[in-house]
Amino acid sequence: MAESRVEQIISAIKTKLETIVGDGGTTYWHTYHVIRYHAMTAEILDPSIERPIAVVIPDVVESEEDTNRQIRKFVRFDIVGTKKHQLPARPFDATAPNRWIVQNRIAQDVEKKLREDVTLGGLTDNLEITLTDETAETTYIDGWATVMMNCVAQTVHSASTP
Amino acid sequence: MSDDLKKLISILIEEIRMLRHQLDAPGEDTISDKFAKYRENVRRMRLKKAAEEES
Repeated sequence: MAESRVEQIISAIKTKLETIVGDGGTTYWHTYHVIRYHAMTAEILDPSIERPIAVVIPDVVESEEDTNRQIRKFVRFDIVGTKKHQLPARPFDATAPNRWIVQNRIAQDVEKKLREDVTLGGLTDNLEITLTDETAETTYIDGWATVMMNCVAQTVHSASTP
Repeated sequence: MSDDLKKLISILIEEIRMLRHQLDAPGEDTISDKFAKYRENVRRMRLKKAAEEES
């Protein structure tokens, strides 16, 4: 039996992010070390990884069944992008790029790649980014610039082939 | 004031001091804490959107 549609979608997201090739911002800013994980944990912030890191984290899957025994699923997942970044000792000492710009470049790369084909090669009806969080309250960790993005993929399949 | 009462008051004062210290200097959140907070915000936003669509 093939893996479930949900698994295929999460797997396709990871593969998609792995095709981002950074060229200093002409097409993309960075090339990412992409992993799938169950949560965002301290072990992921591994300073020995030189590239920025993109983590694909599955969230809940919501399902609806219609009268034709077709199942619509809303596959929710998060992408957390993070790059090593030191803040200046004083807020008045400018760094270029600053933390927000570093976060925003990661978000830009991810968004551009996901919007390239929102059907994931026919797996999904649509793919949306519903929230991009770059606020310090939820993303600031010393030594890293991190952005958290909530996404949802919609897919329809027959009840007999989950 | 009895010795027992004095002792109890000093214990309470020490407890209050410790609580105040914890409130003034909370431990730095880990990335797991931050992520949990983010997920909570996402869920809150989703519920709000659903409520708006229903009304």
